Amino acid sequence: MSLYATRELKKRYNGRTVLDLPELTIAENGMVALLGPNGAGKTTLLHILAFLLQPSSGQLWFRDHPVSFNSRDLHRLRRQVVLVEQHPILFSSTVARNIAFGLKMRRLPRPEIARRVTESLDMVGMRDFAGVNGRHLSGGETQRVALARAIACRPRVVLLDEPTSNVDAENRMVIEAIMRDMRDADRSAIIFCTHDLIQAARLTRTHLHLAAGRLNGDDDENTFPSAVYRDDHGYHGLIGDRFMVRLPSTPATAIRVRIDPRRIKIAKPNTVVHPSGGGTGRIIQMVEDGDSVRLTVDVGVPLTVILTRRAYRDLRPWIGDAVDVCCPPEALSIS
Amino acid sequence: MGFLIDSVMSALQLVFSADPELMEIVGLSLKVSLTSTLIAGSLGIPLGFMIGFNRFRGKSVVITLLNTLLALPTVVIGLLVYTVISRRGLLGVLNLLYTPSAIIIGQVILILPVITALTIAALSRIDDRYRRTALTLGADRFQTALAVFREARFGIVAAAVAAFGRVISEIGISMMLGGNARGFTRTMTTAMALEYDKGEFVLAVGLGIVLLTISLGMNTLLNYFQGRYAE
Repeated sequence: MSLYATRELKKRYNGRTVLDLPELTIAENGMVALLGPNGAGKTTLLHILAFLLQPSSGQLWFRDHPVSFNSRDLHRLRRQVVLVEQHPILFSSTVARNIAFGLKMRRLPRPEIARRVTESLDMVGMRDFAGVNGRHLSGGETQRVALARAIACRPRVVLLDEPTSNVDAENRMVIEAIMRDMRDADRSAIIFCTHDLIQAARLTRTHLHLAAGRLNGDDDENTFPSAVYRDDHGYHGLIGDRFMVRLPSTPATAIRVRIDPRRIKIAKPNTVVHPSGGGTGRIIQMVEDGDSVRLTVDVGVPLTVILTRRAYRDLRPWIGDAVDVCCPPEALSIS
Repeated sequence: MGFLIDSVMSALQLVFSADPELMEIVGLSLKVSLTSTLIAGSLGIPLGFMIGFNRFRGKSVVITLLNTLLALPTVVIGLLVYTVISRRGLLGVLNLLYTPSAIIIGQVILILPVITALTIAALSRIDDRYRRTALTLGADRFQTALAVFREARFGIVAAAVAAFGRVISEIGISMMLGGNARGFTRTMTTAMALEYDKGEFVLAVGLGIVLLTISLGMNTLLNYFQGRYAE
């Protein structure tokens, strides 16, 4: 059984398509990171998955049941999914009452509500705040209470919209720890969106990449708009202001180039030629990602390169190193 | 100047000695105005909520109409209700003309648009995230509406207070539909107009003091609720 499935799902605003998902399946359990730049359609998708926003066309399935957005009892479905917004808002009452809200809606008995409120507050480390008015909390505290409010409902799915984008470093660590606890407790599937690749890599190995409302597939975040130039050797695409790749086909004048991060080759400067195009860059980020190492190389744009452990050991890169970046034809796809 | 001071001193004496006639007039005014605010509130708040909370075609037209009705003069309402409840009118058999009930009917018509429009305005200032949060936490439509209402409560109370302030100080409706009958339909404003006509300023000034005190109290309440609401 899949948790969510979509077919030809589209959302349009004023004639502009902001989300276009021909097919998407999200597995029943675990944690999914929804990655993409601002305006990629992440929030729109989360609101649709929370059954708060009706798609303009297409079909959504939740746990193999087709979702009817016009149905009067949509709130029954909503009771299985809780969305925590990017800027959550607390009702103007105490933290404890905020957390009890969803439980009261579910008509749970009072002792059970009290137990779950305490349990959820403990989980986010906010027990001492139970009697405080929600209006008097900081951004990070509000985010944590909103998380507790979602956890307390024990939904099938928790959707988190950029849970750490508006909090300080300390609260970000706390929130990531809470997300890890939620993942390990395995009570709810978690789908969160972020534009922080490193954070996504820290929390889960299941990544979905959205760009301009479309899904780019797993581990395929290097999608860039590119201008096309032609010389005696063929067609070239300019990414950013200085990174040139040789294009495998004859494209139109404006294209999007996708570079598979696992097929990019990097080497110490001046050790390889670039028959297929590329350029030089500087390593600005490195993070362990399962069996691989994920590098971000500044080539005028942040380019993700995924190295096998062996390639990493052979190269021994350091942060700040200048490297040659080579993009062979098989690493490129054009849309 | 001496005349004014004498009048104010005598009026204060009248107020503090709880003069029976003055008390009767104040009591009737409060009773009529509170009743009309209560009736208009119990109609206008749900109406404002239905208009403000739901999306439907022609909503902006309805809101524009309501805002236009805010400027309805009391004499027009008085005239309108008079034609309906006078002996030759549609509801003439009920013998409502020149009774407190007639004043209440007119006042309800006066402040129904006030309460409805201010309720809509209060709701429009409520962040839409409250609605989404209630829905995602499992509330049905009614429970969601209640949650939003709770957030707008200070604004809605402020609407009721503003409406009360409007009716307690109006004169056109009370005069035309109540008839200023002593001990029966004489309100603070109609009594003041009559005393002025008679050249008897003491009771008029006394009533003026009470009316101003009530207005001051109402505005203090209004500021309090609006302050809480704006927090």
